[in-house]
Amino acid sequence: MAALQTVSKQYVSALDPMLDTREINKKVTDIANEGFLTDILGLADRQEVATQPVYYNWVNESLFKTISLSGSTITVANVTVSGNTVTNGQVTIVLTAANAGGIVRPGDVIMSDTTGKTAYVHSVTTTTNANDTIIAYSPDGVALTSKFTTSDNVRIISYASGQGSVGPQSVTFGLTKFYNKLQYFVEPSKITNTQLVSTVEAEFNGSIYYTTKTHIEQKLRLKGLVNTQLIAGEMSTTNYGDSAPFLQDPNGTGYALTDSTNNYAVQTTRGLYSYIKSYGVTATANSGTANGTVTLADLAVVMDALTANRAPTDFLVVANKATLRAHDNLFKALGSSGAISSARFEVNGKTIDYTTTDVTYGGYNLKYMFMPLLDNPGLLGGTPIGKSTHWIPLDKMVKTLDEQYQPAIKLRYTPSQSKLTTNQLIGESEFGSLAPRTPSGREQVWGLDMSTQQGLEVLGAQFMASHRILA
Amino acid sequence: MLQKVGSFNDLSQELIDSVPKLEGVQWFQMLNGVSEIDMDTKEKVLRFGKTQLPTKDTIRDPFNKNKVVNIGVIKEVEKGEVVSFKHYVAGQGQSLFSGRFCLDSNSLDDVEFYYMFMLGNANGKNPNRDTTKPILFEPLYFEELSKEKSKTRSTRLRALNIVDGFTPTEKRDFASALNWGVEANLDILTEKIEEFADNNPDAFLKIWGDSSLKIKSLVGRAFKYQVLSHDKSNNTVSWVTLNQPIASFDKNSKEPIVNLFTNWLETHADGTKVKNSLTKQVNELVKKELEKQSVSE
Repeated sequence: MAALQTVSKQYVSALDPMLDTREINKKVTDIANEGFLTDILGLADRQEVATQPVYYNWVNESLFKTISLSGSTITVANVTVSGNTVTNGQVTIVLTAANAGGIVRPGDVIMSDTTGKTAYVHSVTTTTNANDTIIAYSPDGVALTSKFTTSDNVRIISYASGQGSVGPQSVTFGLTKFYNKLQYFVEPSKITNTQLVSTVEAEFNGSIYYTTKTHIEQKLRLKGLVNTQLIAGEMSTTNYGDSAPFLQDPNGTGYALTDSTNNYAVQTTRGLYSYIKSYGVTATANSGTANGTVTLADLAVVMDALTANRAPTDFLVVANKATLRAHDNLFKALGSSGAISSARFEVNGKTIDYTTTDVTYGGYNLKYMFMPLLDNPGLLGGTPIGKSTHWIPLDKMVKTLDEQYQPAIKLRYTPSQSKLTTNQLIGESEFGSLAPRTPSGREQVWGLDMSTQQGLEVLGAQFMASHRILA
Repeated sequence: MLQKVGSFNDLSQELIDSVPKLEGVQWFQMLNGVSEIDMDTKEKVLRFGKTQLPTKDTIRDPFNKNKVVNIGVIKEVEKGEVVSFKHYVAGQGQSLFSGRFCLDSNSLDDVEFYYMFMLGNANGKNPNRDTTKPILFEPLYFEELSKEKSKTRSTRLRALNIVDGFTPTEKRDFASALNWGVEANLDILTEKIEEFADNNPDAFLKIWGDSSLKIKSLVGRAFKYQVLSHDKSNNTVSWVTLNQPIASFDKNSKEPIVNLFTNWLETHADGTKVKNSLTKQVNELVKKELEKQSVSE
């Protein structure tokens, strides 16, 4: 007869813990959420093979320069030429050492940028520093008193010569060389014989082997390391060819990939932000003291500086979420008079969309885009780079001197020499006796190195800006 | 001067007076340059992007009980309240920014910017700056720069003159005091000392002026000829032939052993005795080494 009694589960379990099944959700939750770091290739338009570890490019200089009169001595005097006297018709400008030796020639027409007055250059001579003294006459007989002041930046707007005269001195313009270096990135993984065949409870892409997880992560990590360097990296002074390199491999111990006796030189590539810092525009919102807000006046500062750099007008503005939020707040607070706010309330007739993606302001077209890399707290989140918006020419093209175009941002790489590669960009090499494709040695492991040699090339970094928004 | 509106620019007269008056032109040097070495010429260059400088800041007024004051170059005022500030982008309008910009006393805007930049936290030479804020620039005083450069140059000249007057013995003494290859070829040694004096004139003069140079040189040679040995694990100096410790020093001391042992020789009661013995042994070895060299040459 059945009796009322209870099975002691504890007792059964004590007999054999394997009796119980375990309730496990086999899918591993991805809380690191690092699989979607925006690829730099989204910004870089093209990949191009580099055959040397250092690659160069040239930019021309402006043909129309301004000459600062700051600190110069300016005097006006009466002048008589061929019996014609003009009261205060002559201006003598003695430039400071820093501004002397420019490209002003006798016969040039110069213009003051504050008064708009022009003058015809009669002579350029030397007082203290080479070609520091400019004497110019009023073309229309109007006195030049106070027409040229020390706060002026004089422009050379034209040239005039007399009948049958000898041509002026020629002016040559130089080129400026820019360069960057390739960097060798590598991310290894190594798994032992036992772990290789042991199944685990978790599932990765339908596979129950831990090695699958390792390889997924290895690929993501390599990608993250490459992308972050291409945005935030600074170029090493060390080259592969240096006889006494400053940056060297950590030499052996613990690094299976480095030679244990030789100290090979290490190069690092210059990232986008470093390019902008060296050649582009760096501005800070809230009058130079970022506090997490942005105003139209702040945007105007960036635009004015880009205009002075002769930049194109269409820009892709990449940023993290908090920075984009500051911009959304600005555009939403502008009131309903502008096209920006009114359009935002009509998404599906229900949802209020506070995001602003397209803005036309002051002759510039801005397209805002979110870049997860700038938010990742382990990479660029919280750094000056993450706290800024980055303005990149939208069509990603720059003009060449012969009226053709080439991509503004390129990825330079050396083709991988490994036979285990699919796209030349990233090579794989295996080691260990359990390596499925190229077994080697006696160690009972499957080792896999993913490696790539890449560098960034930015042409016309003058057209790019970083705008610090967050404090 | 900075325009005072509401709580902005409420500065004590002493703080304002502490800023040198702007007369003519004041140059500033940006300090955020990125250093590059030209691949062909190996020349070091600094590159500067165009940078917006703060035209609004919060500072302490040391002349008014360290009161916290907001400063700024005010552009617009509405109903007694500051609405906006003027902007300044260093290098704007230049093709390639050289990193230097100047402010002119003739321009009223520039005078305001001058006080802002001199009193703000971005100025590296501001003694009252908030050190947690990044330094962006500093004012340039060409007289001081020239003095500094001239001083370095004259120090180098003095150092090189001293090297020029060195006798061969002095050269060898100097080299051994630095633990270099003491009895190397004299021409090589001369070049090496000249290079050292050229690159580190201050260090050279310090070593040359050191009263214990001769003893240091003796100790350096004694280690080189293995008359003395140094046990790094317990920082002890011993006679090699007798395998007998002479002196022990603090294990954690970072001072070079040549300096430590020289000091011991100069101060310890047995110092003179040991020094005499060392001199005798080392001199014999040096003599032998030089004889060997003259034969091989």
